[in-house]
Parts: sequence; structure tokens; C-alpha cells
Amino acid sequence: MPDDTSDKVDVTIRIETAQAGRLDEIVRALVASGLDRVESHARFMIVNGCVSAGSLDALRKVKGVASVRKDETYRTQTP
Amino acid sequence: MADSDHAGDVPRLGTVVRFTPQAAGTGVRKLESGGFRVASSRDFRNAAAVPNNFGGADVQYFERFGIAIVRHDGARLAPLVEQAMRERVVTSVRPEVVYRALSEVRRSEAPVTSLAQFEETSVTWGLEVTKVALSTLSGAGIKVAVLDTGFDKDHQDFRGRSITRKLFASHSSEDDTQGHGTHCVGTACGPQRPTSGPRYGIAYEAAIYAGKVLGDDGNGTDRSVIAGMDWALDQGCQIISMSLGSAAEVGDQPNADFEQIGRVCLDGGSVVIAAAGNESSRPGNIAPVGSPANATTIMAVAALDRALAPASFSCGGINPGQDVDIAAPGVDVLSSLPGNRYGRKNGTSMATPHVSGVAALIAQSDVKFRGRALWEGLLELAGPLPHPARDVGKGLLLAPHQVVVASADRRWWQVFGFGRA
Repeated sequence: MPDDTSDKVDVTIRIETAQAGRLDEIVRALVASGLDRVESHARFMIVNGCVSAGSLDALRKVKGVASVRKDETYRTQTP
Repeated sequence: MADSDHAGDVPRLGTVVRFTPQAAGTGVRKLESGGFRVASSRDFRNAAAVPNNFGGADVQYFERFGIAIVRHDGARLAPLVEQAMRERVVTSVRPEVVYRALSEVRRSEAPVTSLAQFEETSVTWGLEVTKVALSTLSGAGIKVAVLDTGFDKDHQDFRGRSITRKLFASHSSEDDTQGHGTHCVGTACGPQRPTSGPRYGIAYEAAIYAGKVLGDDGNGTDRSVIAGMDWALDQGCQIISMSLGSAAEVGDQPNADFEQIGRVCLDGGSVVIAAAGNESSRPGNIAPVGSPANATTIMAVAALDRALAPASFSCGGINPGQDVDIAAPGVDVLSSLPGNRYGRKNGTSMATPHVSGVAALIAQSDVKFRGRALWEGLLELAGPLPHPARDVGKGLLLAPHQVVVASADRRWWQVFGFGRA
């Protein structure tokens, strides 16, 4: 779901699996780079959050981040 | 057939008759008036041991279950049962079977045929064609997560079931306002004997974990879907059913996030089963499998129609490495709807819970079927179809059999059409 603030986007961030021991540190760095509404899934090494569109590149620069992408919308699969 | 209870060391099997609950006494009296000697399980309640042959009686009657096993099923039983079924005193008859521990899953040897003309008097066409109706497995002890639009836990067909619900979708109620989730849960985990209509549910004793990851508008995002998957693993679900997706374009790569998530699920002993997508307009246009089903670590399910052909809308393995894994009934699928209703839906959404329910049966059969082994078990059982793997993967979903049917005399079932020779 889009955040209430129109210039913000929901994102899914994949963390390098080799960085499992640093997950908390990486999440703190993401928050410092503008990520909020953070939900961390340690077993998946995935972090969901919300960020202003202009801060996407800042998230990508955090050490240990493998990818950052805008969330997709999923629908029921009835034609 | 010989009248002895044993032929060498092989027990001679009989016929299992199930009475209508209110008419069990009438049914027993009919058997007695037909000359059958009936022994009741009650007669042996205080005995140290119950003899296998109930003291030589013709009929062993288990009043608690309303079931009788007829040992001496000669020519005189046929007209009695036929009449009792017409009078609704008897609801079903089947051959007695021998149970054994499974070391490997085995599929039914009954032929796969089109069900274009199949009338759903006792089971839906989907359960018929996948041989679920022939399986004695129930999903007992297995946890199935259905991540969808929610679930009507108060539906009359799910009373007494183990149900856990959790809301993940934003700005949504806890109810299944779409009806889609209740339909999918119904197919995967619905009852053996619904309140109304034919049987539509597969794993009727599985524990249900309904995560509402799609909102009241039928949509969800990565946040809710991934959170639901994480929750399902936390709960120990062996199967995660996801009748949801996002369309992919020709040339798209799989979503690397779901590649990783699916792998973690498999490593954790859970199989993620997802809808391939409905963007095709066959025969002219076949759209690629959508996300997340296009991840190689998530099982992609295509939809079949009653002729066992790919449904017109069902996506195919167009993008390299993003294949359909298996196909299941996905057209004209009857299942539960909120408010004690029932209804029919189409979609790879409907095919997916067929696979999830059968996965629960396989998982029940042996604890070794978890994660990748369960994935392989599903594909190993699949029956061939005369269609490209691009459209149907390994073929038609088929349910496992845990039983060995040892009765050699199938004349009964041929005469009355209760099974195949």
C-alpha cells in the first residue's frame, strides 16, 4: 500500500546473506538513510520499509544491501 | 469368493458400508433381515481383545462411526445395498483396504480422463480427476498456510477445525470481503463431508493458517506477502499456498527476493505453492508466469479446464527458466464462500489450493516429505498430459494413495459405478 505521504514509496530491500551477523547494524544504517515503517525479516534477509523517492539511491549505498526495489502489487489470480 | 476369512496368510477383505447417521439402526436391521449375522463393536467393549472376525459374524458393525464391514458379501448383499442407497439409508460403499506405512508415495493407477460431462454428485470434478476422492489421507498433523484475502472462520463447514488467522494487509478488515480466500481455503482444507453439496476440500484434517495478505480490495504488496510468509514459517506450516501474483513481461527476470525467500522456505521444510497467473488469452497469446511463481524456488501452478487442457487464461513458461511446474483444476471450481455459501470460480488461484491440499496429503504420509522432498513428491506423482511442459509442467496433479487395495473381487464397484476396475 502506498504510504500516506505521496512522495514516499514502499520498498523491499534484500540484504546480502553473508551479512547475516550485521543485520541490525544494516537496518540502523537504512533508518539513518531515511527508511521508516521498518519491518525486518531476518530469516529471509529481507527488510521492508518506506522511503522518499529521492532517497532510494542512499539506501542502495548502505554496505550489505544487495538490492532495493519499489514494492509490487499482488492480486488474486482470477481472470 | 471363498467364505473363509483367510486365504492362506492374506486376510480376506470385505465391503465397507457407511450408513446415513440418522438411519444406521435401520440399515443394520435391513442387513439382519437379509440373513446377515451382525456383531456390534459394543458386544466386545469389555473384552480383553476384539477378534478380527468379530466371532465369525457376517457383519461387523461399529455403531460409534455408523459403519459396517460386510465380510461375506455374496450375491445377496448387492440388492440390499442398492435399495438402501435409494432410500438414503446408506451413503457410501467401498472395498475394505489394507493400510501400511508409506516409504514412498504412489499414485492411483486409475486412468486419467476428461471430466467434461462429470456430474458433481459426491465430489467436485477437481477432486475426482486428481484422485483425491480415492485417497485415504486427510492432511492430519499438517499445517497449511493460505495467504490470501482472509477466511470466514465461522463457515458451517469448518466447525471444530483448527484455525489460526492473522491480518497483514493494510487498511483492511479481518473479514474475507472478497470471498477469494475462503474459496481457496475450502479447496485446500475443506471438509470431507460438507453441509451442502459435493465434497470440495482435500486436506480435511489439516490445521488451517489463514493469513490475510491481500486487502479488502483484493490487492497486497511485498510487505504484507513477505510478512505472511515469515509468519507461516514461524507457525511451522509445511505448505504455504499463495493464490496471488503480479504479471510479468516477456524478458523479465525472476524476482531475486522471492528466489531467496523460497529457498529459505524449502530449507526450513516448507514448500511455497503459487498461482502461475491468468494473463494469457489462448490460443493466440500465452503470457509468461508471473511473480512470485516465476521464482525457481516457488512452485508455479497452471490451471486446467474440465477437458484437462490448459485454461485459456493460464500463463505459460515463456521466459527462460521461469517454468510452470504442475497443473491442476482451475476452471469451474466449486468451493466455500463466506456466509455459509458456496460458489464457482476460475483461475490459477483455484488450481493452486488443489496442489496445496494434495501436498498436505503427501506430507502426512511420511515425515520425510518436507521442503524439497515434498516438492519432488508432488512432481513425481503428477500424471502426463498431452500438452507442452510450457503449459502444464510435469502434468496433472495426482493425490497419493496410502492404501493397498487387496480385494480381488471388484465386481461390486463395477456394477454400481463406485470405482474403476
